[in-house]
Amino acid sequence: MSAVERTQSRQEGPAESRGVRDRAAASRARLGLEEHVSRLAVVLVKALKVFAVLFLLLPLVVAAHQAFLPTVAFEVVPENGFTLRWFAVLGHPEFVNAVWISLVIAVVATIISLVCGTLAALALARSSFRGREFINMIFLSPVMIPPVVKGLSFVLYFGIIGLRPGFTSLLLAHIVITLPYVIRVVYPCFYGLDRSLEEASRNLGASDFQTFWKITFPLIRPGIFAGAIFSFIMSVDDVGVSIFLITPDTTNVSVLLLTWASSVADNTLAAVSLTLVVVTLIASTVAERWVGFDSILGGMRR
Amino acid sequence: MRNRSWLTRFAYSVMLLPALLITVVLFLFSLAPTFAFSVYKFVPPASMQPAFVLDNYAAFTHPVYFGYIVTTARIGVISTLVAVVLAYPMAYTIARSASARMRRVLLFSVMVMFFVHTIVRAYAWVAVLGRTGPLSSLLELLGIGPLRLLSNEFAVTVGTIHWLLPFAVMTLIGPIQTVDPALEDAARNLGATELKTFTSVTLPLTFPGVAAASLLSLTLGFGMFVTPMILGGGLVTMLAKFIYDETIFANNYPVGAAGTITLLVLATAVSVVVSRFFEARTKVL
Repeated sequence: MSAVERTQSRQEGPAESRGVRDRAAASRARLGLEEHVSRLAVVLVKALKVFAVLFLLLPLVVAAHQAFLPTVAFEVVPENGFTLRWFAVLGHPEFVNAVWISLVIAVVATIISLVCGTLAALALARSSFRGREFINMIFLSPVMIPPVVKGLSFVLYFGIIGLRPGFTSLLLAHIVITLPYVIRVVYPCFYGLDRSLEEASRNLGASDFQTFWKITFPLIRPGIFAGAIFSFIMSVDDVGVSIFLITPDTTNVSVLLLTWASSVADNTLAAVSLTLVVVTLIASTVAERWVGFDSILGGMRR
Repeated sequence: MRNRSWLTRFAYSVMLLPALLITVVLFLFSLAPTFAFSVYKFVPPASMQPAFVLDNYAAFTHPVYFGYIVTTARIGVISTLVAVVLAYPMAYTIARSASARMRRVLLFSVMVMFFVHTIVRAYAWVAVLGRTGPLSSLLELLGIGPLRLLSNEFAVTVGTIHWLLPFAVMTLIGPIQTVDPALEDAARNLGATELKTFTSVTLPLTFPGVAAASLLSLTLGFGMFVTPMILGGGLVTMLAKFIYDETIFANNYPVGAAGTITLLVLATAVSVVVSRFFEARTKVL
């Protein structure tokens, strides 16, 4: 029974004194108003939700459409038509090289972060020394620092220790970028683990290494996949750090795209965007089937 | 047994070591020169001299430079507010909706954003807000004259909200999931309206989540670099872009370093204020 119905039924009650009736009327009016406001709020929230989804997805659709148009978005007189000429850039050696650099850096940084991060997460989850929370905070600290701050700091620091901008400095920086995400995703997996399975394995005579490889690792594998995906995304997506450390030979796809976005006035970027979106859509669908977004979700929580 | 525990402790230290070395030696140490250079003296055109001067910080009292700080704070705060408000209903539906399809559609539209490159996401707004873009055409159809929607703070704020929204949704899902639905049902059964149930049960219980989402959004929002660069068209300067321009183009590393420290202090200060605000609200309950 809703609040409105309840007030209505009260109305049909026996004769009341004037004061009580007045109060009832006032409360009825208040409840009625509250109910109306609440209903309005519910509708508004629903509208907000629809708006949020459209707000997220529509720009990508518009950009995708732009990739096939002969004129750019800021031209005064738009020309209608259909063209595939903007996609020619995908075969451009500069672009291919940049994609290659991004992929190599992302894969190597992810592998190194995954190994170091998983070991650290395991040690953190299993030990119980006093500074544990503090060390965890140190591990996660790079996330709290804006990318450009990290980028400038790296270029100054690497300059002092004699490391020139280039592949090595880019790789080291990307390890720093990706490591916290691996630890953040993998750490909770060790917490949720049923330790009795490991004890059972040890009681049955398995060595520590066998226990880890045959029992622990398979149990945390979803977390490690999620950590790998996250780490890879963060590496490929980085602009603020990379832009300080690239050289003409090691320009990665982020920096190249940014250069184009601020200088080239055609739909090349829309075409590249569409291609990237299609590739990432396929990748994310595969990722969803493979590990499920729920396990990636764990890494996003603070 | 004692021997074994000593051994495991040693093993744990060895396991922690690589990650700790990377974080401390590569990252924490790297911040030191930035702090040091921020008080060095800039020698035009492109070098600096060890010193202890506060000129680089004093530069930010100049109206133009101070304006960069204000712009950064304004875009960061407004984007955070809008992103968290938009994120809450989405996160609530993902956490609670009875329809599995609804949950999947919303979760997918949020997750896909993480897979789409930041530059692509900013550029998509160039297509939307551009002169021939759909929004311009729609506004002209409504008789609202040709407005310049790109290369201004509005465009940068919209792009920033778009970038922050998925992070805010992801941060809110967990805290909303932990609220016991029975509490909300109890409020409803006692005659509370949906709005009342939300404002006096659900929202207060998810306050820590709202705080976490706001803090994350603020930290990310203050550091925005790509979005202002693409959507600001060189007319909107946030601190991150200022730092980049000063160092890479003007070779003025001391002022760039001072800008960096200013950005860190600004982000930390706002975070402290926000977490105090939420802590005070949580304690009352």
